[in-house]
Amino acid sequence: MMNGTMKMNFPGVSAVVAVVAPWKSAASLLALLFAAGIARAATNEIDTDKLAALSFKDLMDVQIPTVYGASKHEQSLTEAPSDVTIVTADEIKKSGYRTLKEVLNSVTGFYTTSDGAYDYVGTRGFNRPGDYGGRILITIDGHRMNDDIFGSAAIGTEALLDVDLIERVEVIRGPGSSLYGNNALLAVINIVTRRGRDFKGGEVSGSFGSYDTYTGRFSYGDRYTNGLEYALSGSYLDSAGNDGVYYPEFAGINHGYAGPYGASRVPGVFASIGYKGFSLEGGFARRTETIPAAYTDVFNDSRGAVTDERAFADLRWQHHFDNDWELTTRVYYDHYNYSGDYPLSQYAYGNPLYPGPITINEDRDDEESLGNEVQISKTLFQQHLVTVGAEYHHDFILDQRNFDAGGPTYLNANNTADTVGAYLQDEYAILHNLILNAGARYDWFSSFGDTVNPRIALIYSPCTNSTFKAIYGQAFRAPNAYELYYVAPGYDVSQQLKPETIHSYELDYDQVLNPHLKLATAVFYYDVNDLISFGLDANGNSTFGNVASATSKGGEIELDGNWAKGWRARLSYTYADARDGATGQRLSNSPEHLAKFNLTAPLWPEKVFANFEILGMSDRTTVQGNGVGSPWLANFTIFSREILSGVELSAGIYNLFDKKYSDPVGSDFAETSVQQNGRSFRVKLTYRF
Amino acid sequence: MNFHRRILLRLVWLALIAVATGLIKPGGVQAEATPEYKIKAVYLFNIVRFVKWPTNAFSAADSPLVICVLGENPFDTELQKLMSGRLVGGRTVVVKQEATAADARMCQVVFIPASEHANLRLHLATLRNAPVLTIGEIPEFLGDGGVIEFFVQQNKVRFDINKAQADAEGVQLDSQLLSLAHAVREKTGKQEEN
Repeated sequence: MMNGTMKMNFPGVSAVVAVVAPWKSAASLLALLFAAGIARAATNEIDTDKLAALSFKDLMDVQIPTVYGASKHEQSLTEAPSDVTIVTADEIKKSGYRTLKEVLNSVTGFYTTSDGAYDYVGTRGFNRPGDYGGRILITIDGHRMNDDIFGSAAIGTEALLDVDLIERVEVIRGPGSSLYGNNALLAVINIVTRRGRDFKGGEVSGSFGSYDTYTGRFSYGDRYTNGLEYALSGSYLDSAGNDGVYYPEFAGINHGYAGPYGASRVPGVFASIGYKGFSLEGGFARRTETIPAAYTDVFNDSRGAVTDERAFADLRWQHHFDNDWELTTRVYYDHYNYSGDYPLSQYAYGNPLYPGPITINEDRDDEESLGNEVQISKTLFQQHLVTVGAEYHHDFILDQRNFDAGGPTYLNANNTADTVGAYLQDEYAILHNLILNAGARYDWFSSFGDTVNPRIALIYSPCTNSTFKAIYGQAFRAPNAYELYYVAPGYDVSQQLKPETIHSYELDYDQVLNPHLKLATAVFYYDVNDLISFGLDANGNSTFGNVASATSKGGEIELDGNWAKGWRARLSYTYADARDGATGQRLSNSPEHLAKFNLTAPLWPEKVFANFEILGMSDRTTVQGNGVGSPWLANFTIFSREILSGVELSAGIYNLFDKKYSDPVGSDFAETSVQQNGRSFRVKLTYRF
Repeated sequence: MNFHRRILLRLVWLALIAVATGLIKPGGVQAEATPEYKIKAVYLFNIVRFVKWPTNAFSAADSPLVICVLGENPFDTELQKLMSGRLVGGRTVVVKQEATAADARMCQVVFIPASEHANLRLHLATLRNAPVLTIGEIPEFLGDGGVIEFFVQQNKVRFDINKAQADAEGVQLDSQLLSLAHAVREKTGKQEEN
């Protein structure tokens, strides 16, 4: 995951390098032990027969399906101070999504790109090549997943959670720093996991797909009448990778075909246990992947590889006191380990320091952190739901090293960091149908100081079928350890990096047109400042600085239809005009138009469904300003359940028409864009017992 | 721009396919009730068990209890499914959809959904002085002479009761039902919170 890795050399420094931190194994063990339970009421499908069996009193506690992440408590989508999309486990199965990346690709206004090593998510015109998606915060059951070295939002096979363990994905658009602090610049994506009650037994699942990709999973979970519930899952992915990716820049080597692109192995575990108000949840995943043509001038060398390892544990206690006090307190642990091996020729970036024909330059990064958070909410004077919280986060290891295999060490930066945050939010029900949601969060970072980010939303429902929202918010992305501490000859230490900021203005109008059809519309204006980029300082040296700014303005429209027997259709269109503040040029990797269509048709009532999806985007430019064309991709999936008792079977074809297209990549690549996968397939079998 | 035209063409093409395959046939396919209305359907199912109608509300001793939904039915088939095969006060239950309040005067329960916002006053005026339990969800429902009004608070369905109106129509509400209400209006304009 390195940007500019090879540009550096400290000729004077030679160092002893211990390669593997003992943390690695310790962390995986910890994660296994702390397998975790959580937190958030996953809303199960509402079944009227089950509800009819409840007493009237219990019925009054049944909640309408909700979003948690928008206000840090459950609320209906129309009351949320953001434009929210929910993707449920059922939709994920019917559409055959294999990764979080594919889930997000289906969401109005979102798009993802890949450089062969990593996948990146962006929205509404923002997905700058070379960044790691740190402007979108991803949480699992409210636990922050962006790491503290690159701030990455992991969405591909390196993401910690297997998509089969997702109960629902809450996509909360707009600034979220008023509750979450760092990284919640453009959106917050909260993943609610399946708990013991959602399994009620065991599940084995296996799949086979293109590029010799195999996956396997075993999960077991249950809930007992005394309230104890647990879920435990282990999974494995093995892929030979795609060796048919053509790189025109390297046409002279192996006819332009690199060795397998994305050959990977990913073991993962995830677990949760809950009893009364207590829950413990955690997971571990490590992806090792070959990158035959990323961040290097050496092509088709199978030694090029990256490994990303993530683990976390989150212990929480949630209690509802008399008088409507609700207390949530949690302590958590995070681990992130990255290693990158980059074969470099002696001519790497014109640098004559590499003596041999090919040197393996290595990155080794490690983050270990602990944190805790306390949150209290209470209803005051009937109309106010007040939430206050405080969070402390300590990175006790924040290490980055760069060295040549068997050679000199160029960088050995050992740092620590502290962050303190405090937030307050008031949801004021002015009238039955008018809500004012206002809040702000204060954050202090040991690296740059403090920042305050407010959000205010007015939500008006003149009748039950119509909702208007007016939202203003500020949010930030703090400079990460990589931007702060990764230095090299000819590069200066970044001085006084400030956070990137956004001022966001949004108007939403949602209308239930009839019982089948919902319309959602939004217009937005984003003003982003102090974007962190490579630039030249006063000495003429390269360094990271708060040098860029950008704006994005546009609108969205979505039609969502639900009919009897499982018919579903969604159609959406997003217009985004995102431009650089200095030049007025359109941002790179920023499509002006995004259009999506998704149709689910029942072929056999309740049992067999066909899903057809079209994802289209208009031309995007590379960092160098060349267009990459406008791909229209189609996916087709057949999903069946309960034809045989307990058996789910699905078969999907992705990029159905074998469309050839490329995604723009960062400026540290020799190439300007990377060709993406053509037509591929997957068949998957799941058995429940 | 060329791209605009292409998007437009594709959307038109998709719409044509959708219409051709019968997907978007107005009224041709039945809606599934949203989770909110599934919950509200179960509320209705619970509420009717705590209500006593005057004998003149029924044409015969063995007449069914009739629940009518005015206008568009947001419950889809959930209400029918819930009520089928059950007895309330010894009577079978029938669920009907009626277009006008005049047709609904013979029903024992009338649900007026949000979509009837424009006609609310007219409906309630037509149903006045009939032994009908009116249930609605429009904010002005009680003020305009309805008996039970649903609203959503912190994602949970709640209801207010206009007991004065129920009394005027001869519909008796069990004290247990009154105790579950968020607020009960005893007399016109006066309101007590539970």
